[in-house]
Amino acid sequence: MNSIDTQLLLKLNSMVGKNPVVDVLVQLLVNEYFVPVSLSLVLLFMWFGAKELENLRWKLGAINAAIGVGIANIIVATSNIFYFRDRPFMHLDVNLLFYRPTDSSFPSNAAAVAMALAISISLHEKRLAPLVLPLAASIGIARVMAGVHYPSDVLAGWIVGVSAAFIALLITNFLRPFIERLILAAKNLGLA
Amino acid sequence: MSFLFHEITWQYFLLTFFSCLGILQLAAVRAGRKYLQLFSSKPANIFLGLACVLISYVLFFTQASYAIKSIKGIVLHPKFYPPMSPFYQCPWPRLEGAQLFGVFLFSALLSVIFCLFINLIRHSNKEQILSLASSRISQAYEEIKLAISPRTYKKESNYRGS
Repeated sequence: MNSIDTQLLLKLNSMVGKNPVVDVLVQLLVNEYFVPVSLSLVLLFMWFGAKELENLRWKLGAINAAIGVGIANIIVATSNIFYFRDRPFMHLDVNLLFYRPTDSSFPSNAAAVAMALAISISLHEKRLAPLVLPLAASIGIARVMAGVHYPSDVLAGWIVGVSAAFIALLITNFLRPFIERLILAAKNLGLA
Repeated sequence: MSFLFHEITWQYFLLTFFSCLGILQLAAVRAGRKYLQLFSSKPANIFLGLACVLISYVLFFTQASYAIKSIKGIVLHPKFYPPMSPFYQCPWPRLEGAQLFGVFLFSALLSVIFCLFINLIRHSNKEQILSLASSRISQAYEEIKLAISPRTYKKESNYRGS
């Protein structure tokens, strides 16, 4: 398993450093700005851009995503307390297209957060799934290509993200009356 | 709070503020929320929205201080690195996750307030603004009181539509 993980990492990582276009694309996707900001903008669009019939569903989706991100962060932080995995660049001969993070490699926090956002959005609006799911997947793949994560870290991050989104869905449904009132309060203030 | 004085924080703030403003315009046109639209014509709002998002993205990801050091295709080999040190710091300025979230939330809120403010100035006089604001705030206060009231949870749903 470890060998497959390493081989896959080296294969993906060998794609960088050859073509400047690929390098720029990976550096755009791997950083902490592009994918998180883009997914957050989708949430903002859901909050303010919903038409009459989809209004409540989209707003619940945005709240579901926010709760999902919180849960994903808690799971990753808890996992880091019990298990620390070195980054691939510490042991392997990889091309590095990113700064050297010092926290645990497993699971990938960026992949978990992006997937929690994308799944939460997709659960409430299927039409946005083709936009957000590839975007969320791309940050994980780019992190392996850039040499800062093993593929298993990203896979674990995706599992954490999907689980967090479904846990957040349960919480959102449980708190629905409270959330509906808050939405009405925000609407009165012009914030919804 | 020292991160507030970093160049990257301000660059990130400008990216998020203008992209939020752009998305707000597109969302307001789609949902027909006139109180968030900066222009009275739909095409003008759509153009402004797209321009804000595209320009802020292009400028940030090509010009911002993080990009100058990272987008130029640094492909380094580990043998050139010194051994990993606990005092290692990222070679270019960066924001932590919580800081990114905080700045984004602040920018989004500011862009909404900006649109509301522009519309209030454009469409109302001072008395109208004050009376509308006070009635809206008192309604919002009532909704928040209901939200935390145990009575709310006795019903299946209290949502009264959009």
